[in-house]
Amino acid sequence: MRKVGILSLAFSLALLSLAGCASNTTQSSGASSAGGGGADVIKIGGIGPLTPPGSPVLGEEIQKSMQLAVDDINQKGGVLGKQLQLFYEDSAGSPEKGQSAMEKLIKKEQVVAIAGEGHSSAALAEIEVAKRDNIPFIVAEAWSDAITEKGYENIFRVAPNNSMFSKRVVEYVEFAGYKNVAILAEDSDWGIGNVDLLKKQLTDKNIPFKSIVVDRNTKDFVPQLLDLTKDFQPDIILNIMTGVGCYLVVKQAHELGIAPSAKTAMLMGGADAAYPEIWETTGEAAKYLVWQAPYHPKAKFTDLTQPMVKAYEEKNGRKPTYAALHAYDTVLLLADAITRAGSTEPAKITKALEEAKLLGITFPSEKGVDYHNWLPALLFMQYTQVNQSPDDAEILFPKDVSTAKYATPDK
Amino acid sequence: MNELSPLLAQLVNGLIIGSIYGLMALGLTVIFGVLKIVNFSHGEFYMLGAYASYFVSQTMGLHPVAGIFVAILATFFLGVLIEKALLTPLYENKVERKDEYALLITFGLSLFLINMALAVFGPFQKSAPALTGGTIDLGVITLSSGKVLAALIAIALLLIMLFIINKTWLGTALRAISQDRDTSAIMGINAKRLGSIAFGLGACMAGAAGALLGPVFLVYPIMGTVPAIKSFVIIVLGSMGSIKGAIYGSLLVGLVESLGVFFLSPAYRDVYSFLILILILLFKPKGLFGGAQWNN
Repeated sequence: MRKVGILSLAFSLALLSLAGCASNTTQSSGASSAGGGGADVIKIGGIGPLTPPGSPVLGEEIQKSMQLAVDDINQKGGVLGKQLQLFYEDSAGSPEKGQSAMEKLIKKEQVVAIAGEGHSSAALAEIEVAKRDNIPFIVAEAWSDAITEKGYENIFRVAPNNSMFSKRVVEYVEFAGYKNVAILAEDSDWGIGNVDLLKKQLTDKNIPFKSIVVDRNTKDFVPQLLDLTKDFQPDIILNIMTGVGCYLVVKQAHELGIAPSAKTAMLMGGADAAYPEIWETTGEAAKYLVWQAPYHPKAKFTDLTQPMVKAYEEKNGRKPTYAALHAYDTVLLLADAITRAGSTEPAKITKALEEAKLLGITFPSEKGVDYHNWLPALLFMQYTQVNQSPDDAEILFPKDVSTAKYATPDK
Repeated sequence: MNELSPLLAQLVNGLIIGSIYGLMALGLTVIFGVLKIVNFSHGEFYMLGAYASYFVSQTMGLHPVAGIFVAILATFFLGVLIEKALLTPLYENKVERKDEYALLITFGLSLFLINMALAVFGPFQKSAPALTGGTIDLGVITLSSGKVLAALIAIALLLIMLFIINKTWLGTALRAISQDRDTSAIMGINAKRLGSIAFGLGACMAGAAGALLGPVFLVYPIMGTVPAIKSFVIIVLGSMGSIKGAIYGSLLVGLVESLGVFFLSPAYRDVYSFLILILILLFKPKGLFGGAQWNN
C-alpha cells in the first residue's frame, strides 16, 4: 500500500513537471507609488507565460511592454488623476496555471481589468475566469478564433486571429505561385486551429498539401521532415510552431538540405522569427527564411509606433517584436476606456472598450473595434543575409508595401 | 534501394538519438542500482552539461569536444557534492520515510536547478557549435556529421562506463554495494564515499548526453524534461536497475519510434515508446530483463 502511495506521488509530481508547473515564478511589478489601499492607484492585471511550457521570451516581452506603457501613461499624469499599477502573473502558457493566475489577479490583487497572454490554449481557459467575474480582458497575442468567437462581451483582442492569419498565408502562397505545400504544426490551439483553416482553404483552391501535427515538446523533427518530403516535393514548408520547436525545424530542415533550398522555401508562422535568438539558434539556416509579422519598420504604422519602439529598445536592450507592440496597445486601450468611462467599474470599462476608436501602436484610430478584435496588418518578410536584423529584412508581400522579390537560395 | 532510403533514414536517426538517450538511461540505472533512489533531477544534470559545454565551446572558443569533457567533469563533481549535501541523511538513519525523502529531495532539486538556470542563464535558447560541420553521404541516405560523431562519442562513453563497472575495482565495489550495502561495508568498502561517486557517475552521464545533444536540440533551462522522461521509459522497460536493460531499452525505443513513424504516423512518435512500455509491462511486469539486479 505504501509503495502504491509513493508511486502515485511520483506520478503526480512527474505530471506536474510535464504540465510545466515546474517553475512557479510569480512576479508583481507596479508603479513606484504602490499604495496597496487602492485609493491612489488603479490596479490593472497583466498575464503571460514566464516559464515553460509557454514561451518565457514572449511572456517577458509582454510584461516589459505593458510596464513601459504603464510608466509612459503615469508620466503623463496617469488615468483619472490616479497612477496605473500593473500586477503581472505567470500563466506558463498552460490552461490550469493561467486560470489560477487569473483568479489571483482578480481575487487577491483586485485588478479592474486584465490584458496579456501569448498562448491560445491558456487564453481560452483564462477568458472563462474573466467571464465569470465579468472583468474586461484584452488578449494581447493569442490568435485562436475561438477567443473572440465565443461572443463574451468582456473579452477583446488586439492580435490577428487564425482565420486572418491563414487567409493571408494562403494569399501569399498563391501570390508566390507555390504549387505544393507542406505544413508542420504544433499541437496547440493556435497550431491545430491554423492547420484546419489552412487545409480547408488549400483544398478550396486545389493546392495539393501534406500536413503533420506534432507534440509541442518535440525536439527531433527529422522524422517528420523526412515524412513530409517522402513521395512529395513541397515548394514551401509552413512552419507553424512557436518557441524552441520553430527554430529546431529550421535548423534540422537546413541540415537535411530540405529547406530553405532552391526547391523548397520555408515560412515561419510564429513571432519567434523576429527574435535575435533566431541567428543564435539556427546559424545560417535562417538565411532565405520567409516570416510574417503584423509590424515592420519599413512599413509605417502610426505616429506612436517609432517612439515606443525606441523607448522599448533603450530600456530593454533589444528591439520589440509585434507581440510587444500589441501588449503596449492593450494598456493604451485600457487607459483610454477607463478615461472615457470615467470609472473603474468593470462593466463600464467593457462598454467603453466596445466603443474605442483609438490611435494605437499597430492600428489606426478610424478602424475601431471589429467584433471585439482590432485587426492589425500582416506582412511577409524574408531574411536575405545571415545575422540580418529583422528591421533590415525585405518585405515580400503585400505588394503595395513590398521592398523586394523572393530571393531563391543557390542550392 | 531508393524506396528503402526513407525507412533507413528514419532508423538511423532513431538509433543515433536512442544511443544518446541510452547514455542518460545508464546514468539513471547506476544511481538507482547503488543508491536505490530514482533521481528526478536527472534531466537537470543533462541541462547543466549542455550549458557547461556551451560556455566552453561558445564563450571560451575551445573545441566542442573539450566542452564535452568539461561537462562530464563539472556534472560529476556537482553530482558528488549534491549527493553528499542532500542524500547522506538517507544512510545515517536521519529520515524515517526514506523513499519519500529521496523522491521529494530530487524533485525539489530539479525545480531548484530549472529556476536557477532561468535566473542565471535567462529563458533564451542558445545553440552550442556543432561537434563537426557538414554531412556524410552514404549514397542511399545523407547523415549530419555532427549527429553521427555525437552518437559515436556516446557509444564510446557507454563502453568506458561498462568497462569501469565490469573490469575495475571501483565497478566491483559498486556492484557489491548494489547487492548488499551493509555486507559490503562490513567487508571494508566505504559505501558512503562510493555512493557519492556513483551519483557523480550517473550525473556525469546525463551531463555528457546534454553536451552531446546541446548542439542538436538547443540549450535552455527546461531542456532536460523530455530526455529525462525518455530515460525513465527506457529503464522501466528494460527493468529498473539493469544495465543490460538500459542499453537494450534505449535501442528498442529508438527502433520502435522510427518504425512507428515510418509505417504509421510521425505525429504520434512519442506514443510508440509508451505503447511498447505498456505492452512489455503487461506481459513481463519486471521489465525485459526481469529483476533489479544491477549487473544483470
